[in-house]
Amino acid sequence: MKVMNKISNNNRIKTPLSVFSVIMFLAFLTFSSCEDYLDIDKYVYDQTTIDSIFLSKTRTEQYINGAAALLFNESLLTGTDWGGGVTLPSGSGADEAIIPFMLNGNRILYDEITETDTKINPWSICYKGIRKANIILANIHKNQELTEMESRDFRGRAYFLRAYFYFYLVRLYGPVPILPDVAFDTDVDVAEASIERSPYDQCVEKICSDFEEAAGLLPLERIETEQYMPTKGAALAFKARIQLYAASPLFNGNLYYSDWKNSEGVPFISQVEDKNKWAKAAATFKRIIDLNTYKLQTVAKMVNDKGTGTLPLPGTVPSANFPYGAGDIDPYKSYRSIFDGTYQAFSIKEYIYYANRSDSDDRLYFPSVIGGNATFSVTQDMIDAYRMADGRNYSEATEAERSYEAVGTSSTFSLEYPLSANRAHRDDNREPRYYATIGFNHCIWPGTSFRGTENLKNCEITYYADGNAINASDNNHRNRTGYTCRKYIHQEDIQHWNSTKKSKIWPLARYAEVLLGYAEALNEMEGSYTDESGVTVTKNVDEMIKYFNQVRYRAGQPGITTADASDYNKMKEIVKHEWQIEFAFESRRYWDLRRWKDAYDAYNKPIIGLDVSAKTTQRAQFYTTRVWNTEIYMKRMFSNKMYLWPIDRNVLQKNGKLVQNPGW
Amino acid sequence: MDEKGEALVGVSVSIKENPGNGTITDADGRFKLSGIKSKQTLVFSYIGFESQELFLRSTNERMRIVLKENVNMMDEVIITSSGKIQKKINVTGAITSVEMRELKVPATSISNMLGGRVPGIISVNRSGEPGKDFSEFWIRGISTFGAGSSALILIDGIEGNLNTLDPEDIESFSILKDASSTAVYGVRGANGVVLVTTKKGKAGKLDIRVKVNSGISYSPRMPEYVSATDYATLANEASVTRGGIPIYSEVDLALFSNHLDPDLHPDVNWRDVILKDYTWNQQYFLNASGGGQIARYYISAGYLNKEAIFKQDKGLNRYDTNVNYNKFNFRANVDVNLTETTTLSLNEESVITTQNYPGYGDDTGALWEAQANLTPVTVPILYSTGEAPGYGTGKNTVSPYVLLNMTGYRKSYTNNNKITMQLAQKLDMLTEGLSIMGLINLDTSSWMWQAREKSPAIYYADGRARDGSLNLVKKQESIESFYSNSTQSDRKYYYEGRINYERVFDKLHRVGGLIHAYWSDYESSKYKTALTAIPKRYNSYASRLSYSYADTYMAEFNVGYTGSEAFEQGKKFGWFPAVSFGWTPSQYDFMQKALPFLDYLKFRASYGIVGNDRLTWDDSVRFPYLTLIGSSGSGQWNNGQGITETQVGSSNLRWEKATKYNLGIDLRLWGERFDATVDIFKDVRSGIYQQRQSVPEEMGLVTLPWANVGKMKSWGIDGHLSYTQPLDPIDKSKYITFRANYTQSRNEILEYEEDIKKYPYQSAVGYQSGINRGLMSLGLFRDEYDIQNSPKQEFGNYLPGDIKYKDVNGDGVVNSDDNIPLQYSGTPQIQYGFATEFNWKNLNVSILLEGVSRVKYFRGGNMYNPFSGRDTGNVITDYANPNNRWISAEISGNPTTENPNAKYPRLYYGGSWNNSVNSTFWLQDGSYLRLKNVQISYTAKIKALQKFGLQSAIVSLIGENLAVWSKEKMLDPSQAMYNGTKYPIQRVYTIQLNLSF
Repeated sequence: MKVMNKISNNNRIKTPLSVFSVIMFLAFLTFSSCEDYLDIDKYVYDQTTIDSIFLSKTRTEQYINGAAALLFNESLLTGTDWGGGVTLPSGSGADEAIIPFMLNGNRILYDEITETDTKINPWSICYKGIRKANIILANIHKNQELTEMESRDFRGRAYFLRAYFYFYLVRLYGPVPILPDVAFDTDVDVAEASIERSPYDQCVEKICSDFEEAAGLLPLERIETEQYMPTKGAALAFKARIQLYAASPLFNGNLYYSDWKNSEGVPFISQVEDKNKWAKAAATFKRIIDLNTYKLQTVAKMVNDKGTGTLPLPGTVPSANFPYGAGDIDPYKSYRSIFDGTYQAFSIKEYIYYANRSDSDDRLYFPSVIGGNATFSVTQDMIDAYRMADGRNYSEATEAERSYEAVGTSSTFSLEYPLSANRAHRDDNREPRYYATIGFNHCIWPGTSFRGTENLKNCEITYYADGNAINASDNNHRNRTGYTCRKYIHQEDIQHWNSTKKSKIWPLARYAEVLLGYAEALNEMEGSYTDESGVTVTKNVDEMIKYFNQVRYRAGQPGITTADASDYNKMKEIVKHEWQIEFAFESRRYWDLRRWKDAYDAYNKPIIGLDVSAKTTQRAQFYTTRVWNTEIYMKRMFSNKMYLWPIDRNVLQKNGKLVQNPGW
Repeated sequence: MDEKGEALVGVSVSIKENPGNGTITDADGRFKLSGIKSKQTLVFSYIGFESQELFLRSTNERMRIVLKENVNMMDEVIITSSGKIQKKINVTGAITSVEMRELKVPATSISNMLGGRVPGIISVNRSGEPGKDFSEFWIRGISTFGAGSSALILIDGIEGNLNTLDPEDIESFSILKDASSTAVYGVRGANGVVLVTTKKGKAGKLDIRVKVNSGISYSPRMPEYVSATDYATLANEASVTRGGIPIYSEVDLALFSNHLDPDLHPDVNWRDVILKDYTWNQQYFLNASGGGQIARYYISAGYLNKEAIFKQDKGLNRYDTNVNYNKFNFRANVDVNLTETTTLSLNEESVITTQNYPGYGDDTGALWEAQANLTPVTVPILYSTGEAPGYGTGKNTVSPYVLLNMTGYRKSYTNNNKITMQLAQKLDMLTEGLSIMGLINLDTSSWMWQAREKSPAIYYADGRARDGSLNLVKKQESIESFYSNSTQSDRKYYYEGRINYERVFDKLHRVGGLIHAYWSDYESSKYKTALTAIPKRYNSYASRLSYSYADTYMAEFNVGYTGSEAFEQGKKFGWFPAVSFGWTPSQYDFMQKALPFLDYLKFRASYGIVGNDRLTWDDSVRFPYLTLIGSSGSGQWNNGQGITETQVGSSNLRWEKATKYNLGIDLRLWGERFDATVDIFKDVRSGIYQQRQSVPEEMGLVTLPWANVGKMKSWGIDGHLSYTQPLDPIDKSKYITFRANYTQSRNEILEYEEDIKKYPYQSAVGYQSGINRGLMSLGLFRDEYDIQNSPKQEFGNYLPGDIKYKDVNGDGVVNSDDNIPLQYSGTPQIQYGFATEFNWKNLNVSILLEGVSRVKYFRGGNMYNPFSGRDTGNVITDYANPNNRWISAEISGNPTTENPNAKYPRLYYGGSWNNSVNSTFWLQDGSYLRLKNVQISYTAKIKALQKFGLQSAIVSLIGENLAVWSKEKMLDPSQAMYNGTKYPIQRVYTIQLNLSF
């Protein structure tokens, strides 16, 4: 077959083209240098990278904020079962009240927590926060935009965060691994990154030194827009708190843990009691007092001619001006306004460190008629802990004072607190903190912000079986003891769409803690002690009385005497009692019962409450206290393993060196 | 001219004393060369022929110069890495090169031709669906559990797709298996490389070839399901045997068998409803090649059409709803000599594929699942009142007849265009043997599917109203026809440059050198995030030095310096060195004298390191070294915006590293009749990417980073041998050849990032990658006593006749903790093939047997779990056979039917959880031996037709997949792991006509 091509030789171009192709080839080889061709920087340079964060002041602060965003919302007693992560068992897991649902926070009461299902597992979030703090501290020196002041503040925040996350872990789990201060590389060998738990005292040392660093760097006071951020005082307050915990019997020479040792044979919990630990706590409390920045919240005495002002001061209480007596203050309002949102948070000098309070628990407090389910049921033991107005213990009250009969006359005090004529004598003439904290049968819930036409203002709430606290259609949603907590309910609040609720503050640390802690630590310590900052504390009865009584006077209660304070055991009981009342429903008792090793007795007690099965017509029966054990929620118990929370199986599985807490 | 006296076109003719002066022969085999002086020597050379030298005494002689065809296998060439042609004798790496002659079968894709034919390949074909009937294959088996375990495919040096390449366009291909041959591919070479070269035009007269074939195919193995009566009877047994009441009454049973109530008592064989008995496919192919001194061309066009075996109801629609695969191929390879030493080549390839599907979706799985899921009595094909039936709303509970015929249709198109321009320059004038080459390739493809979808309302009749009319419950509203589409496009640039040096000094020292560089850049619209859409780029520099002394001692050094955009700045590039040695003792004179039958013996050894840079198979994770930042709240500090890491950067990420060892031997005996190659290999893959799992939580990472933490080794052997027996000492067209090949690849995971396991056998470490895991079955429970005395099984309730499991960890209960690694995985460890070819003049018969072994899978799914959804869950006839299952004596009236060794356990209406968990009870051997191919061809050279230019015609009868021998009888063993939910592998008979003009 003939084809197209006749061979022709005439179009041979020789050298020029060859040379051309060589040149082209060489140009080709130098197309671009290697790394540049593969560089993806142009696609990502304008995105924030970890390195660029520490070149800009704004970014650095935002990154610190991002770390702070990992802090848990601790303001809910139920944990945050209604959405968001569950944070702590200390609200619903204390002995103050029962809640008749299985919540992640109260499961521990019923031994419903297991290693494989711990329900509360802040482990990884805390360590994420610690890693971020480490990154901040390692890189902040690169930032040229920061002034010296800003740099100190930022570093202080990072130290505070690191300390706080460790504090959070140690409070829940006891000993935890203390990591190197430099964040691990992401490709680190697993064995190298697996660190065993440090003994408790070493953890405390780390926390204290970080809080101390923070205290040295953070400002003493902040402007209002930064009011929720930590200050020098906040750092010291948490340092003092962990020192107080560390000095307490659970962690100070606790022989229960004598077999519990790390790989080097060092006991996780110290086996020799060291009274000096109390002195260390006392010194830190004293340093906070000496800052002269904080004082207890007080509201001036209210006098009017209608007889609805401040209640007359009992004769047992000094009438000198606060802090030497309660003559010039309204004790009910002074205490209540710490919690009920009456005042701007920034103006309250008692707050040391505080956050906005989430209101999603409120439905547990509000009775059914005004929108809640009233299920938060305070135990009778807690009720009975409140003293009489003149300072006598409730157990010392007369038969008449403890009567269930109606008082018969209504009145109002502190301009806002109405007392119904139907209230029982036992709910009358109690100390002001009782009224500020407890919702009892025939208590009036003013709900003054209600704008609707229904008759929902000034509701007199009753917990009878046919009372208005109960949702008749849902038997499970009812109060079990006849008492609830009203501490975070402002008098104008009502759980209704046609109303406004005051926003509230959750005090994470307040000055009353410093005073009680100081008194407790002084009572426990021996001799005299000077800490690294040069503050000297001495076990001194007058000092104890001076600061302890401030808390009493602010509450309109008589102070303690030299005799009380000189008796170590009596003083110990007085302080514990005061912690219970002053910090009721503030998520503190859970930890206190454990650190004092009082938990065993406190929890292994029957649930006592009023007979809420009685109807309105059965008043006498209603006020008969009885043991409630008909539901699982009333069968709480405590065993030794519950001093510390179990570490989740998922955490243990990833670090072969971790050991579980005893008993789990 | 050649030995047969036919003129050779394009033979290069040069003058030895003056190499710059030369020409090539024209179409008639003549040449004209001026400037020849007497006493000079002319050199004639042509690829495939031995060179001839002619000493000219005078310049006026007329001569016929006969070139001898080069048949010496010693000089056989082989395509090695970087597309370099190397003499086979000098190869020291493990390379299998494949003669296309062996592969000439009408397979749709090369990938289906490899298994059992090519040593070093493990391949599996899981589906017979047109357009999805491609094989997945691995060079030397699976050697990583990381993202990519597939080989790099290079077509004419450019990354490409084997599945769309027309096999007819292939000139040759090579499989590069060890590190010495793949080192130059650096971060992409770890899983081996397949190099394909396409045909090029040869100077000479026009050559036209036409191939036409037509095939008929059917599904040789499909599960058989029971009829309505059998189903209902079994359903009653299933219920009664567990203490229930019969599901169907005597009246129901009568209605099922007499077919009087097709609405409520249907008897549907879904297989017959939606499947045809056979289907057709056609393939047409045309190429033209030729050219002359200036230019040579190869142009081809191909068309393939495959229709699926679904039975569409043609009367129902004016459009096609059947699954269908169409492919158009076009290729043009043109080489132009710009100067005598400069060649410009232009290669163009276009592929358009079109696929058709029923409107409900492009996954035919539902049609197959429905067969196992819908019982003969669940719903009729259509209700007698015309409504479309469906038991539920899921695709596999709607009548497959409705899915196939009444849901509209969808079509998808893929278009791919590749253009490659290459400029090669010989630089012998600088130094002999030097040449350079530059290449640009543009590759664009686009993809679109469009659907015109609809659905009738789906009803389920749950009974009859008083008046006898059907009680139809609407399960799904009707959907009016609506249109939708989706498109995707991508493009790739590729540039390459090469410097080549090849020279023999003193006839003893053969020196070769190569410097090679390339850049590639790929972008696609399929990536939807700012990060994943960053172009994928490679840049590589590679070099090779080879030296051989007297073709007896050989050494080769390869080094790749390769980078990819995937790593952080400064860590993008890596060195990939490899070294190999060869020794050919058969070159020694004394060997040749002592062992005259030994034609050739070579030992090879290689060692090297290659890489793999891909993190995940779909590129969903890229740049894990970047720490990405996103916003967060500021929480309780209430201090404005917060930011946090949304991805924690992984430090020190590098590529997965493959350290490869290879030892090989090549042997030829008895005058080249016997040929064998055996290689043993070991591949240690370290630094396999894994997202870290067991990182202590105390590290505080926001996201788990990726790291090079996995490690795996694979090892094995591959080789082939062949023997050719001439049947006539003179006529070389009479011979018989036997070939065999064998590949075995085993692997073991050495390091694997995982949680701390409760029991050591739960770890992946120490076992084969992808090993089947399940419980250990102890047969069926004999009786209540057996149950009482056995550990409690935590998979629902169970009775005698249900599967009894071993409490492996001895904790007193049988639960998921007792899952242990069993045997093998779904990927065979061994693949082998036997072929024989008989040629007698114009008749050629070839037979290929292919097999795999050391492969297991679990039986399961609806196929082996009857009544799984109570009203749904079909029963295979094998289960229905009373000899095969455990039947309680109360039902059968015969205690021997309570057979604890029965093939199937006691029936369970609703599906037994206890009996359907993976265990050795259901673990099935997937080994098979397949008669993969039989081909009978006759070559006709009809003188009468030669007048019209027809040189030869070959008529072939080809049968594919003609028989399978395996333990699995109901399904094709290579896809049995899907338990009947995949399109069956087809048996195909093809008649083929090859014409050459």
